[in-house]
Amino acid sequence: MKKTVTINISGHMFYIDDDAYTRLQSYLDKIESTFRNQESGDEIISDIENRIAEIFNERINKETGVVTLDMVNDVIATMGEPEQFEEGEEDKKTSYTPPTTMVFRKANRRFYRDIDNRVLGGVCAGIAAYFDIDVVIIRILFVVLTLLTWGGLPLIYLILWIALPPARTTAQKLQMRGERITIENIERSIRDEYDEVKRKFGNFKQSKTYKKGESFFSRFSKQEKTTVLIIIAIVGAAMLFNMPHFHGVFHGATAAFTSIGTHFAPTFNHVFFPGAFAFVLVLLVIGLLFKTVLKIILYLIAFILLGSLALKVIFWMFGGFMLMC
Amino acid sequence: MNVENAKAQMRKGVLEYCILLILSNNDAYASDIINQLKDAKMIVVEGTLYPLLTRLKNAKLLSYRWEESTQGPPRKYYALTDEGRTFLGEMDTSWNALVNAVEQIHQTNKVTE
Repeated sequence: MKKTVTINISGHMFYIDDDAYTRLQSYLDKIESTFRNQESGDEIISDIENRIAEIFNERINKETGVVTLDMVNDVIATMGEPEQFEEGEEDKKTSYTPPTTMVFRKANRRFYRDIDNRVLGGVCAGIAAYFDIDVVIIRILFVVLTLLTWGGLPLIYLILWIALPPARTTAQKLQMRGERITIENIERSIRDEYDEVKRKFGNFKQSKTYKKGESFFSRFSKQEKTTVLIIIAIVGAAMLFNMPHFHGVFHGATAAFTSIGTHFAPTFNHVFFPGAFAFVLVLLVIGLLFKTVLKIILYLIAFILLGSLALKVIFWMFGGFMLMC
Repeated sequence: MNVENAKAQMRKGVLEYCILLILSNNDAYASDIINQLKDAKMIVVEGTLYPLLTRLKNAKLLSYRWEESTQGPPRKYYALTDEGRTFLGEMDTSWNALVNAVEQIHQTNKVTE
């Protein structure tokens, strides 16, 4: 029994065996990284993909209609490895190593977003995979640091979310964990890392979204969008209702931690719900530990903070009035 | 300097000329061009052709149009532009000159041997 996946090459749909898919994916990745920087690279890539689709169409078994590993290997042999394209160019050919050569090198890890184990964008999971630590530790650390930096960290999180590529292919997932990778990947990794960010930014600038002037949120799915907005609302609200007492980065944090005890922090004197911040902290930790309830908890937190803020505004308005009486 | 490398260098020099030659009579799909070049043992792997075609197209020597195919995805149908024709004419001249030059050197050296 074999698992089969569906792929779309230049507008044509194929059923392809899982092993064949992995092979084809890594081949196309290599093609892409070779031509990406060249003039009209996109065109060359799509021409090659087009040809591959054409060959599949010719050779596909009409009864099963499945692309097999043998077919993929045939196609790659016909098309050739990117190193063979520019044949005769010095050094290139001599340094060519068959892609089957696998090496084990821990040092060649790359940062990816681990979208398989994600809560939001998979940044924490990616970091955990990179350093080989439990993701829960990273998440708790993230929450604590968010409080210490007073909302600066979520901003960094958003930047990482945009900048880091997700680990989609098997090769990328292996690379994320620093496992077995081909020699080519090692050679290209540093260049690719830079390119990926550059290209992503370039694509974004060229995209219709950018031209239409819509926000970058349209790049995320609807669920992701909601979650990001909620987080931003939380951070924003937290900063807002601490604003009058905000003297320094650590002042707020100290206040937040004191408020965990029986004494209300001076920061929250004017808030109707004084323990809000500590309560939110606890809720957030629970949410991150049990991913299933995270969304509900995020909504709850947003409700608490916005409610507090609203109450604070009301008190501020009526407070002045009452003082006059 | 290895022999294979030197041979490949030679082929590479005339590959663009060959593509223009193939297109001088008829417009053709990339796969037609590939088949002709493969039959003539001018290219080893198909991938070589695509960067070249794009380069020639960018130089405005070639143009292409999309044609629906009865089986499989639509295909690019390449044609020589007027500029390409002029270019090919110049290449023809210099190719002949080159062949003559090499031949002449051949002959001279055969005589002295």
